[in-house]
Amino acid sequence: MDAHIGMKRLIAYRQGALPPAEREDVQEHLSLCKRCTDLLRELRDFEAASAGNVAAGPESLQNEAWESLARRLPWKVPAIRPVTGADRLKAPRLRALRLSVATAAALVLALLGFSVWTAIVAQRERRELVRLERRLEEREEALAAARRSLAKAERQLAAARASLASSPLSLHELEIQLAEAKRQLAAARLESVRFSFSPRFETGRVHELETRVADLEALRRTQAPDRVAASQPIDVSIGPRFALRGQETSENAFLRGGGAVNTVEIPDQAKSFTVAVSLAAGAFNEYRFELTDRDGQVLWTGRKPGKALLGDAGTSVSVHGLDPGLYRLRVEGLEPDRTQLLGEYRLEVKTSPHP
Amino acid sequence: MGQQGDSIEEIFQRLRHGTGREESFRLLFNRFYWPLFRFFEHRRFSTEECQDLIQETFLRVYRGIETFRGEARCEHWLFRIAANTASKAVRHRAAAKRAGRDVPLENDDPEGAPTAGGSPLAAAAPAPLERLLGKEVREQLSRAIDGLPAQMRRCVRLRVFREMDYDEIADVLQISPSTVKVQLFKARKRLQMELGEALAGFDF
Repeated sequence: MDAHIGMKRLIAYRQGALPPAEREDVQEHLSLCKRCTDLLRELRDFEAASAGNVAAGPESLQNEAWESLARRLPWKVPAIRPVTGADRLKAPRLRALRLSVATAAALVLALLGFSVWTAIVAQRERRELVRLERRLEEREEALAAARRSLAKAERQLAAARASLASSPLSLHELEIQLAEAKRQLAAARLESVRFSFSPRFETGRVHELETRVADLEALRRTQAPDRVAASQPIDVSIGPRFALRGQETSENAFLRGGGAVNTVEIPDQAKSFTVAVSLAAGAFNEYRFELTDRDGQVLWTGRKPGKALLGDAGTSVSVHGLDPGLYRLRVEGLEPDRTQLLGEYRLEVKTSPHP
Repeated sequence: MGQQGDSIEEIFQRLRHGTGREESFRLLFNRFYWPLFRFFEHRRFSTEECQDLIQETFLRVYRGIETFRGEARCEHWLFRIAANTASKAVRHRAAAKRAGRDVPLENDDPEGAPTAGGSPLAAAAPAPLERLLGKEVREQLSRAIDGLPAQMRRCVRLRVFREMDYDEIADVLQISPSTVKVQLFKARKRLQMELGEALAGFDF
């Protein structure tokens, strides 16, 4: 026969809280196991008794038990726990015994030893309790902090959505808001992982945030082609600049933003081109590149650590699978606590017969 | 019971916040003393042992009150503590017995035979299986029951081997008594068809 049903599971079964398959298992086991049906009956009877359906006996019995219990509980105790051993050994019976002096002495010694032992155990338990209480407090505090940051992220997302709906935003601003929302979400997710052992943490809210970020991203994709024309030219003069390797012969050595079209000529066999990064100063921790087609469909993304790019203008990123047409290249600078849009460039890919 | 107006949850709330601890704990004690007493008594502990075990249970409750966060129902939490306390006492008793010490316990029955006094359903229950059927037929019956559809065989097992009435089967399996009735009716037909003469004179 299967192992007996655990108490937790049995209680869940009684409350109708088990999933169907598990419920079936429990039913099957119960039909075969007397011990578990007995326990189930006891549980049922105890529930009924707790609800008041119980035959009370003599009050003296109840009072006697309380008197004895109250003596053993800490509120009656000064510094160290009582010698509970004395209660356990049942004093009346002890008194009834005729003890020789030697056994009495031995017993006293044993009792003394036992009381010292209980005191040590009690002290250890008390320390453990203090430790646990402190841990609980810390957890509650951290949980509250996580809740606050979640709420903040939500507020910012809501604000971003509201302002998007009411006023025509520049794509740049939209990007910044999205980046901020993503950052908040990442932080919230991290917190939620840290506290996932706490059943009270609302992972549902993280999920909701994820959905919202996805919405916002979808919105960005649909709005990007229209908005880019109306948007402010993106200032890429500060910070790193980007060039297309092998394309430097065109009118500008660096990629031009603000809606200008950068021509990319590649051999028709190659289907790839290379972006070189000129890192003058202020390198980011990491760079993220994203190539999208006219419809906003992401074709390729790549990340490069800033350190790998620094001082080596030749480090490059290759993009494969290119047909002639219009594309958009985004470059973001990533720091652990923020994401900055560095440039958005329109590219026109032209192929020429291989020389 | 119930002369105190506070709900168990309110008492627990106050205990956790440490306000009026002793009074609150007394209320809790009064509320659960007799349910616990009857529970231990049902497990065949003597009155004196019941008193000890109740105290032990409440000591554990007192120590654990900080950790009880209200995910479970209070009475379920108490029941778990009480059942663990009882099991521990039984283990302790067994160990003491092995050590050859004098264990002043009455009613010591490790098999956990049915409660003294029997259930109120005993009168309606059929006569023991052994008296009605030979060993061979009993085994045949057992196999036939195992071959029945899930719900049906569970009902039949509880009825035939555990001699439960419809309501009790329904309570154990958490289904309605009418379902039990229907399942048993169908099972009777199927078993009669399968075993025929062998089952003559046996009904459940």
